[in-house]
Amino acid sequence: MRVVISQELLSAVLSTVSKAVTRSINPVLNHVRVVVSSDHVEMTATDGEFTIRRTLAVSGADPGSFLAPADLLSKLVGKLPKKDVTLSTEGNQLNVQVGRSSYDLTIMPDENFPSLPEYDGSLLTSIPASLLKNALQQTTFSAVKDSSTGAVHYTNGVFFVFHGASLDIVATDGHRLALKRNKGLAGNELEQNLLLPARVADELEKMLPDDDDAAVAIFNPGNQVAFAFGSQLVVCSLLDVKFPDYERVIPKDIATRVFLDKSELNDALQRVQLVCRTRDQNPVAHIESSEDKIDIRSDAGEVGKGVEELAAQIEGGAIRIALNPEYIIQVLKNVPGDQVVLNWINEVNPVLVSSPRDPDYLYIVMPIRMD
Amino acid sequence: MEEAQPRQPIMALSEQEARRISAGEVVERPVNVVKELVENALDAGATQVTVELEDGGRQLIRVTDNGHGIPASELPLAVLPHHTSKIRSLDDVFGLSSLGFRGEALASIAAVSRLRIASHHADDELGTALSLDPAGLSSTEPVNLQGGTEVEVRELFHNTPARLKFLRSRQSESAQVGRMLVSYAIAWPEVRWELLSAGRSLLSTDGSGDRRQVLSDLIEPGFRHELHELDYEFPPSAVHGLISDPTYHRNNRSRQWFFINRRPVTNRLLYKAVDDAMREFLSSGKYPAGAFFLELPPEEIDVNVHPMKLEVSFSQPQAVYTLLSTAVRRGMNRAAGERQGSLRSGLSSVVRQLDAGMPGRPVDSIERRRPNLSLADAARQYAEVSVDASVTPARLEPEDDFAFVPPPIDVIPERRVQLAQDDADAGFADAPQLSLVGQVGNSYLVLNSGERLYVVDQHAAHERILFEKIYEAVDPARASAITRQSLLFPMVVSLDDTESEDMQPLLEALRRVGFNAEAGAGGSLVISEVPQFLRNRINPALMADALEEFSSRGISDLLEDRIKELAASISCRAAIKARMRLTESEQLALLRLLLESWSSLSCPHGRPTIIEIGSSELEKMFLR
Ligand SMILES: Nc1ncnc2c1ncn2[C@@H]1O[C@H](COP(=O)(O)OP(=O)(O)O)[C@@H](O)[C@H]1O
Ligand SMILES: [Mg+2]
Repeated sequence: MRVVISQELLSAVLSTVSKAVTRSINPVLNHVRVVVSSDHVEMTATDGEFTIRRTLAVSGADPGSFLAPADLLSKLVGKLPKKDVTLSTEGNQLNVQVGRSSYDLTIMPDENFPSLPEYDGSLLTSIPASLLKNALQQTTFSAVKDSSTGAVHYTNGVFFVFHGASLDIVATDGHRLALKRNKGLAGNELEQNLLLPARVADELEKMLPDDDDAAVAIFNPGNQVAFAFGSQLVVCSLLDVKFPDYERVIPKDIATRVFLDKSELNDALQRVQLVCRTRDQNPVAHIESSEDKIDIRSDAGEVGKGVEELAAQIEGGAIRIALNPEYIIQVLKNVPGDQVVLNWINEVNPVLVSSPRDPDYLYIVMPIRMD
Repeated sequence: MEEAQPRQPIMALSEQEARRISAGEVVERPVNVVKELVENALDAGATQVTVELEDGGRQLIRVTDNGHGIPASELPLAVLPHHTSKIRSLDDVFGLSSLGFRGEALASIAAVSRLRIASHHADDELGTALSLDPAGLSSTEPVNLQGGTEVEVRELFHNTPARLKFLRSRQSESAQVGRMLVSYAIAWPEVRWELLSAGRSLLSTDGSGDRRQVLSDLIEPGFRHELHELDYEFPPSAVHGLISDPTYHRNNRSRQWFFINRRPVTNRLLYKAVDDAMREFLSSGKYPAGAFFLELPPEEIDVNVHPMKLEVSFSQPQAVYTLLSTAVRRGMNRAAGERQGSLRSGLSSVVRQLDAGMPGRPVDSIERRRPNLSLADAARQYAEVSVDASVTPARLEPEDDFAFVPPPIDVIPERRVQLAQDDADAGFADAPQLSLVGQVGNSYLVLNSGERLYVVDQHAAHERILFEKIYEAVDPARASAITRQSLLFPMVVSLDDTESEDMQPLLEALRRVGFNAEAGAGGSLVISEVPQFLRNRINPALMADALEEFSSRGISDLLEDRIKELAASISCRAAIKARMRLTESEQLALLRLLLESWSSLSCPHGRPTIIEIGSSELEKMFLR
């Protein structure tokens, strides 16, 4: 096997696929699988559930395949000069050579590497990559990425709901929920739900190009999902848990709408957040409206307290609610435009945060209660 | 209060007083005799008491002391019923400032044995011996004795065959005497005690006054565990004493000694008070060793229930129970706190250092931002870190084998931390310099102080922390400060039929620990609000498990006890599991929590959370 690849390209590819590598007791999984054919190279890494593959075009390569130590190879290549890198194998050694640098790394034969499912026949749909990237950005943060309580729960996933020409992407940690509706997807007549692990959604979001023209093909082989875009492929197992009926919790009978300046609200909450731990140190912000303004109060007992007054345009009666300010701060990063709306029903019902600029983006926060 | 009073002459109680006091004292066995004689010796200010037995006391009981003695002129009075130098009226009886107070011990003993008392008082030139037999015949002779008293009781019960028949074996009778004298040795460490049975020494103490030493020696030879001081004053009552560290325990109460106003007593209420207080620190069925000294106003105690036994009763049992259990709980918490103290300052330096070195993490650590970081805040920090952890490893390895997965060296580097000189919360000059070594077996965090290794049980530690936080709610003053996160999707927890029978107490207990729940269809429970600090650690499966465990516990019907059990069940389920790989930031978050949790020495089920392995233990393992 012999192939020449530019250092920059090789480094980028290795660092992308390495995201799927975990330290494992199964040595195969600490390796990246490299398959060289005459005109392209395929690099694959997996942790057994989550797989990333990237393909790059080359010319005049001598074919061959092997398993290379992912971490070491990726670090080594990252430190090489920005020139063409020659990879060649001899026996159980991979030679990495640039100019006067030459390294021989011990490799493993291309055996026992988990194979990817046959996904070709399972194409669900193809959608713009930037649309998916944006939707994941607006929702994934609401899910719970770790599962240190042991069991997998719907809060650990990002839910894809294909329904006719629309795709809803939803994530929740049980206390707030982010929903992005993507409507008018051409040529879709699908009825299909997928629950993607949140940490995969997170990686996928980072990998997706921000390019309006790029498309991502979504496949659904068995209990897995595959996303193919450009030269990249992400495959993972779906979470096998039921996602709750999110439509049911979207507030309907809104009593009051409070229009606020997004950055003013963000700045105020950032300050309030510093001084809003109650006696048992949980973040709580008390929001109350009057006429054409809202007050945001924090009271952290012996630590201190604070109040912020914000100009607001209010449609409806006075509002009053206690919220975890962090939940609002997080959504403000993802609300487009200058304005944000708090839609209020009463003290015990959820608040709907919406954006006049992006009516298909909904964010629901449950209140904090105290006696 | 135990100082011997200046000696008063021996006088008869007035008939009226005598009748009121007389409790029909009966001598049943040698141990009763020894007790009376030993108490007389202590009343006489003795600093050395020797008890000799022949044939388990049947042949001979001899008690020798170096107390102030009895003047020759009063010696015949001492053996008369209702003659005493110790009280003048009924009011004095309840003062209990001396051990014997009825003035009839010697008389009752004389009635069932051949008694000889030799004594020398400083006012007399010579000592005198008085011998008498049950028939009332007495004789005196001068003896050569240098201060103190020697009482000999021979042929006990020779004239009362019925009682003689009830005596047990020689070993059994002398063992009873031995057990009783152990109590006295603990109560009076400044006295040199000696028990000889058939010439063999069964007990001997050095009279150095070091109660800790006496107690250690009596718990077991070579006892090396810590004994924590109990010291709780609730005027006019108080509790003092020593209790063993939870690292030591036995399967019975044989190493527990109880005293009221320095008299050895037995009482089930006192046992229960200690057991209940220790429930947080030891699993049930395990008992600490300890000596518990209660000081109670005499009017609160009735010691006349069984004059010759050690049983007492109380006019306000609940108050006595609370006094003792509070004392033990406080003592244990303080000990845990002290023990944590040095570790804590070490931990705080690790955490600070890690904060500083964490990529993308503000150096401005939470300690600096909020000096009075509470547990809940720490818990919140945990939640934050666990949600936002940027490095989330996939969990691939089988969860149940491979006990040791070496931490990847570049992910969890060893960091040695020098304790800063101006470290405000250090407070311990000899605080260990700790380095975080990593996670072992996906279950334990290992810290190295250079001198010792500390192994933190991640589950037990987190459980302990959560328990304290949840249990805080039991204090009604704090309960209102518990903020509850309402849930988007109420949790429906299905309960067994047995559990659903009487939902009301469960709903109330849940409410008190910060949940809002109501009965749902088919005996289910619908939870709509959870304590805010637990919001990311609770799910329906977990609640179902916790509630099932809770209903199977059912130790007590008292709401407060049930709340505590509920807190224990929930914290156990919500805590980080064992065999769960933690990222560096999660390890850090747990350490941070530990640091803030003052008495996290043992989890609510009584297991320890941190163990120390000293270099001497390591040497032992390496057979050096
Ligand atoms: N070992 C002793 N040393 C000094 N005096 C003693 C001793 N034993 C008994 N006495 C005297 O004999 C008295 C009677 O003893 P006792 O019958 O036990 O009644 P009590 O101890 O209740 O007074 C005591 O009050 C005390 O003055
Ligand atoms: Mg007496």
